[in-house]
Amino acid sequence: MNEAAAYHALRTATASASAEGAQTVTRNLIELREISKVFGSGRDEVRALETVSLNIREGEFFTLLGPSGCGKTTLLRLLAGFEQPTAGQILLDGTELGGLPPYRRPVNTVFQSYALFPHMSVAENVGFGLEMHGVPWERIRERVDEMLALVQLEGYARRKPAQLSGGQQQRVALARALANHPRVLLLDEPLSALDLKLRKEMQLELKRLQKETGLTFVFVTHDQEEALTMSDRVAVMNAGEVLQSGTPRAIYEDPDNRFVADFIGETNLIEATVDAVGEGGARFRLASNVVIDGSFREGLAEGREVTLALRPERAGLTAPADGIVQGEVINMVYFGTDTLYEVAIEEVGVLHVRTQNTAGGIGEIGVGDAVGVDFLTDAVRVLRD
Amino acid sequence: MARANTRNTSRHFPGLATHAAFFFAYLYIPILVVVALSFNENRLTTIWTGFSTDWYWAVLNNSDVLRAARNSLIVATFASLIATAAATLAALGMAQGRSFRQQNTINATLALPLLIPEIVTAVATLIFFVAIGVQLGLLTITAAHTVFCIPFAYLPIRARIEGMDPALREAAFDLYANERRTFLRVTMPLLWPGILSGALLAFIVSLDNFVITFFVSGAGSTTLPVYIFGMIRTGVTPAVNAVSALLLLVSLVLVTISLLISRKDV
Repeated sequence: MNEAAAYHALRTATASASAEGAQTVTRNLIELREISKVFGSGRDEVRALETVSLNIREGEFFTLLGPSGCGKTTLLRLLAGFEQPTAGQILLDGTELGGLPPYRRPVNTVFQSYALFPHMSVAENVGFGLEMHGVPWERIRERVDEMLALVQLEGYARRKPAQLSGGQQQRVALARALANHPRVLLLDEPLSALDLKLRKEMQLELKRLQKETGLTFVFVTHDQEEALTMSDRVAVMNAGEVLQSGTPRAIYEDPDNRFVADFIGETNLIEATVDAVGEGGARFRLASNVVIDGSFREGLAEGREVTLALRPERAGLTAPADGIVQGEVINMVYFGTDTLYEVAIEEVGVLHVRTQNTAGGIGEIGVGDAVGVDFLTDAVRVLRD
Repeated sequence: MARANTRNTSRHFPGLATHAAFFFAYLYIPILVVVALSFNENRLTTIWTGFSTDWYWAVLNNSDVLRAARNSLIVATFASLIATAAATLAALGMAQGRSFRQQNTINATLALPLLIPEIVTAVATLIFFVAIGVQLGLLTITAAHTVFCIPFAYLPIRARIEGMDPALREAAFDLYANERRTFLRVTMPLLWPGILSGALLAFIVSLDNFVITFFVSGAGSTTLPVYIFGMIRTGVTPAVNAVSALLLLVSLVLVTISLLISRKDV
């Protein structure tokens, strides 16, 4: 079949599907069903993805977050069609994508290396996808101008990629992918090559582009801060598995397990035994003489050993008598807006406490001082492992 | 940083510059002497009597020299074209995801003609041609040249492919170009300098080859290097120097073009 025809068939199918589903806000655009990916075989076998199931909704900024080698890029490459899954299904708008080559998928990618064609001008790069579709020249020219305006690169049409800065190349790569009205835009760590200041700018820029175009973005990053600030929803991955997916707030405030709690932000991981289970909460024994209240999680039973997570900024320092637990400050690090205190607590270990350096704060506390550590019951989360 | 380091290390070896000067003198003085003597007016090469370009005119008006030069050009053109086509296909084939061990084996096999003593290849090729009963001539020379030209054409093309971001092909696929269009619009244009550079290298190697050519050439198919060898037998005249200088000039120009092209960042 002719590619353009095949592509348009798929696109019209998806367009009518989206019209029907317009009233449901949380419609799933992409469904990954028990995807596994194995590279190599025998002794060289690498299991990159292990029965991953995920739903990505229409119009959301979805981030795959995890350390390098966790399988996030492999997942993106499966969506783009550069790799085929060993098992499982990928559905776009209910249509199976399996077996379709990348050039028949209404999906475009922004590559980590940008992958701009060095022998073509900026305009030729941006128009390449449309040209391959057989879009007439005048229409391509209009669209290229439109796209260059969108990424604020008017007047750069005739330049070659080598004549552009990293940030500008990045914008061209975005324009080139967006020019084709993809159903999904895939971004493979697109900001990792930029310096800090430019990266912050591009984060805002990406967010703006996503809002303006209303497109579904699937973004891959290993930077947890980037994931939290930009995404509507985040999937945290490790060792080929999705460990938790949800809004940035849900993932940060209520981590499901040790890895998520530790990978995203700072956290205190505290070993404890369930002392008593009540309605909506539970009591945990940290040491022979330390018992605290915490949030409830299903499956808690008296005597079970659990790990608790407490964010340093959700705890505060008090006079020794007023705290839930007592200890001694063994180290402090000043960060400007806030200060990190390390408090050694007998039989429990070291707790990190971050306090804002606001006017009229807790006054002078130094290393060696005896302090109390205070926190809300709600701030103590029980992890699944 | 790296540049600063190399400068420092070379400073730690006193006398490096002097040694390098000796080395280059050893390599290039004989060649410079030949070029200088080609402008000698005297019939006896070793006695300098004055500057003259007469020998060049003599050479360029010598029909035997011209015929040999024409043969050389015909052989070099066809051998380099065929070798480059084969080398391009080989390099493209190698780029299609193979394990490192396979790649190393194939690369080594392709580079083998560079390592086999030329005289061995020459004798073997001659015996082969005689065995299958082909008449020796331009055809046999071209066939033999094609074989040793392949590794020379292959290396720059391979280097070019290796230097290419694999994401470029994927980007083309991603932007709806199928295999054929990706090849025509992205792979080929980016590979082109490597192919051209490879073809030029192959051309020069073929143009300058003596040993293999000497064995597999027949009557009437004398190439320039073989002709020069023949001239020397009857005594070294400035005419020999002039032909050599001309051959050197052509080689230098082609090598320079080849280097410039392969360095070009598209």
